[in-house]
Parts: sequence; structure tokens; C-alpha cells
Amino acid sequence: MTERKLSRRGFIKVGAAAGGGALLAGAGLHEAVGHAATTSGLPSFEGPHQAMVLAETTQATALVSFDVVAGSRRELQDLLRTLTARMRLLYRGGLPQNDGPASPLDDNGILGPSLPAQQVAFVLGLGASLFDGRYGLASLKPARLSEMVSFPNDNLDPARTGGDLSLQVCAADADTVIHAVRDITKHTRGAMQPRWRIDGFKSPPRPAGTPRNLLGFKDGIANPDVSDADAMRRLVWVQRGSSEPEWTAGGTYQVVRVIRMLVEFWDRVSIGEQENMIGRRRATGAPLDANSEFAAPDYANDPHGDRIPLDAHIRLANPRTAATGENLILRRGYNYDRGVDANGNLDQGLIFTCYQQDLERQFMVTQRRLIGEPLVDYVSPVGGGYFFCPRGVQGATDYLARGLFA
Amino acid sequence: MSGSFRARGWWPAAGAVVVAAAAIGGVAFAATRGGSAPAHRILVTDTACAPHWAAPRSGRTVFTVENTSKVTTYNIDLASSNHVSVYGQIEGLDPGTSDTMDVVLPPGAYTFECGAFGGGTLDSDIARVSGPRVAAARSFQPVTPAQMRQVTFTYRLSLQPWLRKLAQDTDALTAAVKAGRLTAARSLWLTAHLDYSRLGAAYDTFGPYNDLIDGRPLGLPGGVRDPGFHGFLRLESGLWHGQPQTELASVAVALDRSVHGLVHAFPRLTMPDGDVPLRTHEILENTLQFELTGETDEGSHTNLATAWANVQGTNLALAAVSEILGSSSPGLVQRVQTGLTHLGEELKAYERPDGAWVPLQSLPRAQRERLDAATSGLLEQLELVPDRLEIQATLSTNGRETDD
Repeated sequence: MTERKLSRRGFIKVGAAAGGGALLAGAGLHEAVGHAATTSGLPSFEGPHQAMVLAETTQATALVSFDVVAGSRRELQDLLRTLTARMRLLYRGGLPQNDGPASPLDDNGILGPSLPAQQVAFVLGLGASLFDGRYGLASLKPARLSEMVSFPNDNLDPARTGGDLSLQVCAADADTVIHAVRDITKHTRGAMQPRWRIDGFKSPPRPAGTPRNLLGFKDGIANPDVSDADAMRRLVWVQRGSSEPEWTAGGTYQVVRVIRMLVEFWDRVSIGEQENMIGRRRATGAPLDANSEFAAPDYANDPHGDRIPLDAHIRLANPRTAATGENLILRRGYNYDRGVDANGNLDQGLIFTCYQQDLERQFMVTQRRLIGEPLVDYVSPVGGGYFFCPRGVQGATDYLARGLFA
Repeated sequence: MSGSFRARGWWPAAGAVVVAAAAIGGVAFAATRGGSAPAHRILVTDTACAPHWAAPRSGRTVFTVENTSKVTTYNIDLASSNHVSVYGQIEGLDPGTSDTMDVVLPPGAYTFECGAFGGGTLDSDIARVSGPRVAAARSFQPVTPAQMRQVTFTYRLSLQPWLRKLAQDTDALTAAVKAGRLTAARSLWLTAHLDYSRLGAAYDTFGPYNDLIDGRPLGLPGGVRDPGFHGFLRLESGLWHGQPQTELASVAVALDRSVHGLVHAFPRLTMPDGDVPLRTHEILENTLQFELTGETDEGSHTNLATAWANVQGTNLALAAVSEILGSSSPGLVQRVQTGLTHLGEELKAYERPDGAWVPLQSLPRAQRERLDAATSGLLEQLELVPDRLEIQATLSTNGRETDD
């Protein structure tokens, strides 16, 4: 019944045909081509972790939230297999599959007849709603995962908030991102439905250093060092033996907040006010008490906020005390720009994205410190979600979130 | 009603021309001087403000100002030698840091003023800038703390009668709700809410009272039915969505209590100096963001009325600053007053003879665009008010100003 309503390429049919490793073989790209060496290959999700979590942001991204409509636990399992398979193929590149002359071409053609290798990367996350009663996963829900919390200044639109799955697609070019989004939605049709989506971009360094956000300030300067494996173990990856379900080890919590910036208003505010709200110089990114963007602000010697106001954004977000070291988050934000609002004001801002080992200890604690900061008058968080990104895949038959079905 | 629209001046035009001219001047300057930074390095130390500074030629100059003190944060102004007009400003230059100061100087005599956080101002030697005449002098005249205290006093005094009216009208509203006269209550609600909207409660002016009186249900898990949602908008939601009188009476009583609490507390609520100029700008920022989008509408569809009251509230703030602003920027005061009058008239045209207002949602696109354009254009002028009325930073002894 259900199957008859789906197209020939409907998810269920593909998923059923898969029945294990068959899908991979059937949908495989032609291997002979597509190994054009790339000097700037993006990381894969094969390995202990989804590596794009730590990798440097790309120029273009799409963040798509999906609701799963698969009819059973088995179909959900097939969906995750298919998702993993498509992500593998898109990452590997090469000639798209050939379904013969009696079918529309499998590939959408946006990237030409052969796909470039290692030019697209993904991060997949699972929302709290996936762990409701539908798929019998309630007992496996990551301990800290919840629906997105509304903070006092938030103006969350339910249509742009939450979702069962998050898929972030990252690439150097917008067409590569769109190609992957189209490919993945096509091959998962019938099993999940896009709920909301937002596209982002990274600005080039202006003139150097950390890229700027659309308030004109360098953003993301003080991030944990991703090359410090110990720091990543403490701050990003869920460890075995914690209070978390076993399958979550090697994964990480993803927070997405779509933060609109009220840029017309912001642009009508004096530079002195702006810099006091942020705590950095706009021109250089330097903390107000230093000359270089990478200098650490010295709060210990500024207890009354004479140099950097006590309610400056950088000071509330990261007070840099021994006690707040465990609250640090790994930020991976992108700028967005998507048209105009009902007043003709520009709808642009930040896709704030961060990763952490413990949603409560890190993001929630940090965000609570920011309640009521002066900057809230100039920003309006309108959507997003909390997700759990499972560990990477290891081996040809592995797939993302397989631990849920062990 | 809509036939009353007139063509509006396109506000930014005049300013844009000035900026363009200055930018061209700057390009020419950079080309001839190659941005020779060392010549324009200004030092500030614990004991000296810009010692031995050399005046540049007239036109645009970018100084690099370096604070070599170990302990003192300075506000730094470049002013005319009589200390009246300020041509460049760095707020809060911390010890051991440097920043740029981008100025356009006509020929004349100038001095740097270095105001130390914690008190005391050092002045530099006077140096003479010579060279060709500069078309647009880019300076402002900071106001003294005493002048600003007078502004705050005048403004607060002007709010008193409106606060009393608010209390009376909220009493009448509460009585109607308690008596179950809900049709009358809807009309009285609008009267009282406009009283409050006229007070210009933008951005925490009334501290915690604003949340109790005019707060929104943002961040509340139960939304409009959350027990933490109070005030006019809570009552609006109930009155316009058929909530029974028995449930609304307590909401109205609580609102009335909060209003009287505000009226009672008002004489003791402090208002930072410099707040009135900020309110002059920011009340209408709120209008654009929350009223002209319909975002705060809880069912009464009276956002246009609220916007009109906000214009009146802006007028109250402007009246308090217009005398000192008029002495330095007469053109700005006139443009803003004209713009407020026009915007107020446009909005008032949407009031029906029976006192009800045309819903924002029913306006044709062209009319909404005209309102948005008028408001946005006016805001591009109003933004100048707080900048032009900055309190003399070099005399400040209270550290940084903050917005909240």
C-alpha cells in the first residue's frame, strides 16, 4: 500500500533493495574516474568521529532539519543506511550511477557529468523528538538532549525550530552544497521531510585573521584548540563510561541557533557603544584592553570593568576563570542573509553553531550568563535546535547512528 | 484618509553627499601622503597628553593614538583650542593599547584632551592646522553634565501628567473588566495602553515595571497563557480572544497594581544621564521592530495606534533636548520635528471616527511601505541625536557609559 504510492525511486524501494550492503554496490559511483587529486579535500565522517565537527568552516553551508516519517524502526534504520551511503558517494565523487536509458538520470547534473572528490562534507545530528515513542528509542536518548529551550530574548518560530534530524552540508561553493542537498532529499524521499533550512556563508578575512560576522566584528576568535586532543576529549566528544548511553561515545552535542541581527538598528549605533557591547575593537578584533585579536583579555586586573565592561559579550560568554574552563564550547558559526522582513528590513545574521560534550554544562551555562546582556536589543534568535551527532562510521558496512540498533 | 500622504524628503540624501565628499578628500589625501602613519602617531602617557604632537594639513587624517600608561584608561578628544568643538574621539582607550582616530579638520587651532577614568583631564599643547579650506567641518559640541541633568529633569517632569492619566485610565479599565463590561473594556484598554506607549518605555526605561506592565510572552513555556505573562498584552490576549471575565479580573487588577507601583516609584527610579537622547532615537526603533511588523499584536490589531503614541513619546523626549540640540544642530532638530509631525499625521489618519484603528494587517502594500520608509528614514536622522548630545567625555569621572 505505502509502497505503491512512492515513486520508483522512493525511499522504501531503495531501502528494501538495500537489505545490507547491496545498496552500496547498487548505487555505487563508477570508480575509474573521479579521483582527481584535490589539495583541499574536506574531511569525511569515516573514523572515530564525524570529522567535519572539528574542521575549519567552509565558504558555503546549508543546514537542513528533517522530520522522520519512516513508518517503522526498520525503515528508520534503512533511512540512516541510505543517508550514510549517499554521503559516502557524494564525498567520494566520480561518475554518477547509471540506471539505464529508461530512467531519468540519477544525478541532478549541477556539478557536471562527474562529481569532484572530497569537495563536500557533512555533519548529521539526531533531535530529541526522534527518541519519542515512534521508534522505540526512548531508553537510548542521549542524557542531555532536549527540545530547544527558549531564552528570555528568544523569538523562536516553531516552524524554524527543532526537528528529528539535522544535516549540515559544507563545501567551498554554493552549488556543491545545493547538489548534495538535492541528492540526499531525492534519495530519502518518503522517509524524511525537510522541516526548515537555512543557508550560510563564511566571509573571507577582512583584512586578515578571524572572519567577520554581519555586525562587522570578528567572530569566533577565542575557540578551543582543535589540535589539542586532550581538550577535544574534555570539551567536545562524549566519553565512554559517562552517564550517557553506551552508543553515544565518540559523539557530540550540536546546538544551532539562528540569530537574526537587527542590522539597520545596529548600524545606527555609535562605534563606542558597539565596542563596549562586544568587548572588542571593531577594526582589529582586539579585546579593548589589548592590541591583537588573539590576545587574552585580562579580566583579573579589571574587576570593575573599567577596561572591558562587565556586561560585554566576550566577558559574559567566556569569563576565562579556572571554574569556567569546563563551560567552553567549540563554535562553528556561519553568516546568513536571506532576503527581507515585513518592513523591508534585511533578514541577516548568524547561524550560531556550537559543539560540546555536555549540553547543560557548556552551552546552557554559557547562554544563561548572556541573559540580559546589552547586545540582546540588537539580535533576535528566531530558530534552531539541539541535536546529538553520533560518532563517525568505521568500515564499509557501518552507518551513522548504527549504535541505536545494536 | 490615505489621500493625505505627501511626498517626503529623502532624508539620507544630504548626509550622503557630505560623506562622499569627505571620502573623496580622504582618497586624495592618501594618494599624496601614502598614509604616512608615523607622522600621525599620538602618544598618551601617565603624565602627558599628546606631547609634541605635530598638526597635519587640513583635510582628512587618521591618527594612531597609543596609550602607554600602565594603569590609566583615557577618553581622548581632539578639540578646537577653545575646547568647544570636538573633531575626533576615542572612548575608553585602555592602557597599553592603541586605536585610530579618523578626523576631518578645517584650518584652525586644536588640542587633544585626555580624560582619565577616575578623574582628571590632561590637555596637549595647541597646534595649528593649515591648508586649504575644508567644505564640511565634522565636529560636534559635547554637552556638559549639568546641561544633561537639566534635560533629564525636564523630561521626567514632562512625563508626570501622562503618568497620572495612565493611572486614571487603567483604573477605569480595571473597573470595567471587574464589572464584566468587556466591550467597554476593550475600548478602555486601548486608551490606557496608548497612555503607556506614549511614555516611551523603550529599553528598560522603567526597569522591572515594564515587564509587568507591557511585557511580552517571549521565552515563557506557556506562551500567552503562561502565569508569568502579565500586563497590557496579557489582558489584550484575553479580551480579544473571548476569555471569561472571571479569569481576566485578576489580570486587570494586577496590571492596575503595577501601574500604580510605577507611578509611585517613578520619582525614585533613576535614569542615567544621556538616556533621554538615547530614548529620542530608540523609541521608534522599537516601533519599527515590534509595532510596524505587527509582532506585538495579541489580538486588538492596534499596532498603528501604538506607533502613533510612540511618535508622541518621541516628541516628548525631543522636546527635552531640542534647546541644546538646536544650538549646535538647528537643521537636525527641524528635520526631525518635521519628520515626526508627518509620521504622526500619517498614522493618525488610520484612526476611525469611532475611535477604533485600521488594522496594520489590512493596509495595502504601498501604504505599509510608505510608513516603513517614513519611519526608517526618520530613524536615520534620529540616530544622530545621541551622538550629537554626547556628554563631555573628557570631564566624565564615572568610567564608561553603558546603555543599561
